[in-house]
Amino acid sequence: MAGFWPFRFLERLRKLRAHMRAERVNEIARRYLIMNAFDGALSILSVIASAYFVGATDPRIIVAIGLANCMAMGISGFTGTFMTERAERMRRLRELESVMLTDLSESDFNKVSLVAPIYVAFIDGIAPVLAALISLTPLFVAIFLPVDAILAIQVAIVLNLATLFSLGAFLGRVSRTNVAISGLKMVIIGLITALICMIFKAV
Amino acid sequence: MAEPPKPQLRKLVLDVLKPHEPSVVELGKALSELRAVRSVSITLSEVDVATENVRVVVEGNGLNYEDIEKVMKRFGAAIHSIDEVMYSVP
Repeated sequence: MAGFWPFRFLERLRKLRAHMRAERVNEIARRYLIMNAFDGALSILSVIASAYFVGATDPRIIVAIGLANCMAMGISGFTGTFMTERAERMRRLRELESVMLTDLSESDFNKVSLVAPIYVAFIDGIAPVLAALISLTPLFVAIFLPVDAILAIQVAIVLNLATLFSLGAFLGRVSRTNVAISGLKMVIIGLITALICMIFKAV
Repeated sequence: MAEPPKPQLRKLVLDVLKPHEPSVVELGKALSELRAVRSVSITLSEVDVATENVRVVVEGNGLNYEDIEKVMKRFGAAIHSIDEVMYSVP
């Protein structure tokens, strides 16, 4: 059983854990998770709010634009982060090699310099997609079920603000400050974004 | 007549240069997970900006030096010298 490749792969990952911890990979992933989920939630809020204010209330249009937006954010998140993180890791590996005066290509640092960027890039790519999909759920429902489109949009905006609040609350927990205030700050940023969308509509 | 038992590697004392991270706790754990290892002791002897010198004592019954060397390489550590080796008949 232990020779079966998924088990071997998991065992390898387990061995890399110490190095991942040493390189603070989880901390970086957490930062990217919040940053990009926030990105995703805000941009989908602007799509939904703009559509609502302009009067394009067909859920199909909003979902199509929203999904395309999600995909673009996911792909840009993954590739951008992978390339940036990989470059940073390679630089760190070279620095460590020059300090240790040895070749580290056989060490786990070398493996981590590939695994960590993939892991962080995956988180970075999936975070905006998930955050945006949460807000799009009522509109999906409105496509397939006889639900009022305006109501679906309103629920979507409320869900979006709830997502922003949760992200803020999570940040509040990470920084050990007031969870509610931190969540409300994010909601206010969301409301300002919606307000800007409304102003654009007036223009 | 039965062959006399072969002496086996029982103790190794190494002078090792390693990066600060992963810590000696992680290195000790990885070494202790190797086959035939009974005890591992790591003592810090010198600290530099990015590296540290440690004295690693591995004891067991039938140690495999290549395995120990592999773990050191995995952790990006360099064995500077082998300070003590003990072989004995089990």
